Amino acid sequence: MPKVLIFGSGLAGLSAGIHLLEARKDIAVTIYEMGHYPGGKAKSYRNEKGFNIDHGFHAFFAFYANFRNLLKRAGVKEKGLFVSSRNISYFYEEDSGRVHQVSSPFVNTGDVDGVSFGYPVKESLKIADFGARNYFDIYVYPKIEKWDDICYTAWAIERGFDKNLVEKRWFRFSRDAYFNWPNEVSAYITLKSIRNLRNPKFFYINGNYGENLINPLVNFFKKMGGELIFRKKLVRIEHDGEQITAAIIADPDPSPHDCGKKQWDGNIPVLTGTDVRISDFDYIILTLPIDNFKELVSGDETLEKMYPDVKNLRTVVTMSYQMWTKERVLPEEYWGGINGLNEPMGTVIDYKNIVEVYKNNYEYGSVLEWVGQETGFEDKSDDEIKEIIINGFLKIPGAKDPRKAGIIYDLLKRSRGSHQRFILTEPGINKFRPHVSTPMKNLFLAGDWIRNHVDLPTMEGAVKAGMEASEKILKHFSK
Amino acid sequence: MRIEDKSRRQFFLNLFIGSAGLFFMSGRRTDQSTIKLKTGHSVNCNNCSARFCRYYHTGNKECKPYSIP
Repeated sequence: MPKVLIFGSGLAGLSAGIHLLEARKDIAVTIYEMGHYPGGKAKSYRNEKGFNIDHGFHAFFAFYANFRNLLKRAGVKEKGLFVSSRNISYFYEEDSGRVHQVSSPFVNTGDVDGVSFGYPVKESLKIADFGARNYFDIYVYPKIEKWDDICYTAWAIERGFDKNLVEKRWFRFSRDAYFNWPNEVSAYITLKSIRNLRNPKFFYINGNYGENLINPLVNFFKKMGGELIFRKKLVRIEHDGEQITAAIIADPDPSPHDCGKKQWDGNIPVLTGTDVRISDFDYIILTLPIDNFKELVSGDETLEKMYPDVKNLRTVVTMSYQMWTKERVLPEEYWGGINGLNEPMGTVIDYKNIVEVYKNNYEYGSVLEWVGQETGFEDKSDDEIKEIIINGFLKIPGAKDPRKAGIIYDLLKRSRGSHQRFILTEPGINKFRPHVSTPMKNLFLAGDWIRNHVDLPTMEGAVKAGMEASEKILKHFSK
Repeated sequence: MRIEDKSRRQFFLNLFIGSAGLFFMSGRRTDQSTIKLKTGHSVNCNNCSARFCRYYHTGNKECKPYSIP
């Protein structure tokens, strides 16, 4: 029976494995996962105190068609699980101290003093004028990839956008969403995002991602005969120049990071003497994060020649700060994430207002999550960062001091580990991103940072890359 | 009710004129890479660490600072 090995049980790996087994019953598929939980950057888990810990806040966009379809096939029902955002977002603006609610006039945040519906008319007209004049370039022009080596800010200013608006709203939000703030995002990535967001709907998940999205995918994969093996790290691959001949795996050493409970920077070490050489396979799909992939490539002359430019890809340390309080600290009228906050965490959301699991839990007044990136704050301690976050939070109209409301539990996470870092979508890096196919005939790549038809570092991009890798293998089988 | 031929012709003519207007309004150019910027480029260039941006490669780092008067 043909055998496929997949390294990584994030969305790319799970998507690839499921796709293979759905298409062919006569393939053996094994996923090796380095960690303790499946899901990669989309995982979440319950810690020893029973609190749900996320890798970071995720908006689940309606344009994630492949991901939604995958979940449907795995038996996940959207009704009750997907909570509509009503397309609402809030943008805090430092200069006025006001929050602007965007979309849905039927939600009553306007009753909160300091919250306006929509934007000042003059600014809205400028944005509409820019959109109309550049409609073709923004939505239709097919060769937007040539704008990868310019940031969206410069791209827009070239086309007449008002410079005084470039640090606000969509500009600010898109740079926060890709964890680039205060740096710039490639115009290609931003335009791709804008085009996908012609369907602006997005959802929140009514609970823990791990239990509600990842576990059903794992169960579906296993039900079709797939094998998922935890706590095995890919250390190196052997090849004869044309194809991979062996994969060497070893047991990760969990003691430095206490099984994921402690902060760990860099690569997870392996225990000596636990190397196992696997040569009984036909194909390999690597869904490694960038820094792990770079580690695999470096030190191997052939792989370095195949991927000389991957060293130019940089990654960013994302951060999340989760807090459960006794009393409510944001008015319940806020329905959604509030963006545009001061660094390092540009966005906060109170899930208490939105998600049923928390709405009905009277233990908690608020269930807050902030997301951002560590850029510029690497030397600050956790307590210093928490203070900066809370001081910024207090500027939101209607916000109360969580320290006075009673913090039941809080956790600041810096995703510094090589396996956790996120691709930095800076201008000009698209040409360095590898493709799904490789020069080795039995080796394929997948992941949110690998080139694919979605091409955005998102959950949908990861799922699509996994599908494309599995389709390449299926084509080989049918020859 | 059947639309008369004259009204149908007028409808399609209006549609064509409107589409052409939208097309020309879009400010589309045939070769975007040769556009010269009017007054400096990204206001954030001084703070941006991008190394493969086309302006970095041309050595054009004459960015204006953000606080434009």
